[in-house]
Amino acid sequence: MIDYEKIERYCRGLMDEKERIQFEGEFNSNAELKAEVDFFRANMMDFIQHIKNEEERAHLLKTIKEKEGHFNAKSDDTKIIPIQRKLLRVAAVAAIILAAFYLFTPEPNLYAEYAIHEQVEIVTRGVDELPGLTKGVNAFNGKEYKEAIPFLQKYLENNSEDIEIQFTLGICYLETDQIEKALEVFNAQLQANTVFRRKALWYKSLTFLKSNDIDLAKETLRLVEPDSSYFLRAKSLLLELE
Amino acid sequence: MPHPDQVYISALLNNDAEKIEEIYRLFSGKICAFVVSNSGSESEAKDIFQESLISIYSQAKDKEFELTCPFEAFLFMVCKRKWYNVLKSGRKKTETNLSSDVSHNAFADELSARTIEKEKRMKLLEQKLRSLGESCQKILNLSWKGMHMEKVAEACDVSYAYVRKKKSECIARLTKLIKEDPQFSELKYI
Repeated sequence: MIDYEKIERYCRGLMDEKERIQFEGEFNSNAELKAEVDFFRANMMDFIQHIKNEEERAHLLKTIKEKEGHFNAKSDDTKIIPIQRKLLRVAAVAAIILAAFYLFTPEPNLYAEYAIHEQVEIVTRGVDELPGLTKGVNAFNGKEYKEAIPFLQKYLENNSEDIEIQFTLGICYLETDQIEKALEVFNAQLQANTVFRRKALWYKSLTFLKSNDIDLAKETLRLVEPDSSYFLRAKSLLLELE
Repeated sequence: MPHPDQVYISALLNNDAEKIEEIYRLFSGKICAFVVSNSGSESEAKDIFQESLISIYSQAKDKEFELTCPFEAFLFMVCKRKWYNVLKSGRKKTETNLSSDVSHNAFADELSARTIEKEKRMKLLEQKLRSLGESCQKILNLSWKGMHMEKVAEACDVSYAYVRKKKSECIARLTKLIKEDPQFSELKYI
């Protein structure tokens, strides 16, 4: 039987010389073992490093998100215009007020920072005959969540199986502070194990964050799995909350 | 001699906020224009840009990594490949405009291909790790994050000998799952 723990220690250089020479002798005369050593070296070494760097990656993502206000900003790095002393004082006072605001009301800002909703595509649905849905989706894409709700609800009366629109309605509830209704939608997606389950877990944590239930938000964020596309965002938010 | 743009790679490796801001200021405009002119939105462009910085960081953690082209060309190619994967996945109705004002660079092309392939491999391995039992995940995660096996045994409330035997079984299972996945045979080693 192949000892994979031994293979790992060999590949990671954790064997002493005597053990290493003995192991090399072993796998040089055993093709099956040699193939496993080669596989480990080619695949698992990178992966171990990847697992090891998980926290560091989350810290980097936090910085990347903090700086996202500079995304596609018009370049202003060509000239630095001198600021008059008086103006500087005004800026300093404004900075202090802003810092105090951030210190005492962190969650709403965090929510706004992390609650970035994907636009809903209606072109792929072929729903020209459903103007109500088009209006609802357009309102959602235009961040007019309150306006979107009645259209989406009406559409779902006859299309209750459309989980994407159910989810979109859940986000509208969340954005209009209808916390219980939002949770109901996200929990239903989680329980039914739909393709949106990973997204539902992320949105459930955002719902708790918005309702200032920080412990539940953290608990939910810890459940986001590494293969979820929300994993790094979840790690980053968790770091902020902790 | 390292490429002068290595400073941006170091910025990602060292989580240097000031330099990361500079990366946004200098390079995000072109990426945004590219995604938007290829059926995307500004918000999607931002996601692609941010994900690409993380992918480049992961690639740069490799000891053998060397930046052989301008950072802008490398970043642009990673973003471009990522965006095409989104378009290919069929989630977007496509109207593509392949041209860009970032000149083609063979080194950037090769480096970005390697970066994307590595990321695909890591995602697949993560997925396979998640499909192992809870105890296997715990043992592998703790030990690979650097915890000594004696401490792992303590954390799992089992003996040292047992935890080593168990770890070997867990790696064997993980290896088998990876090899059996059809996606694995499609991965390229660049």
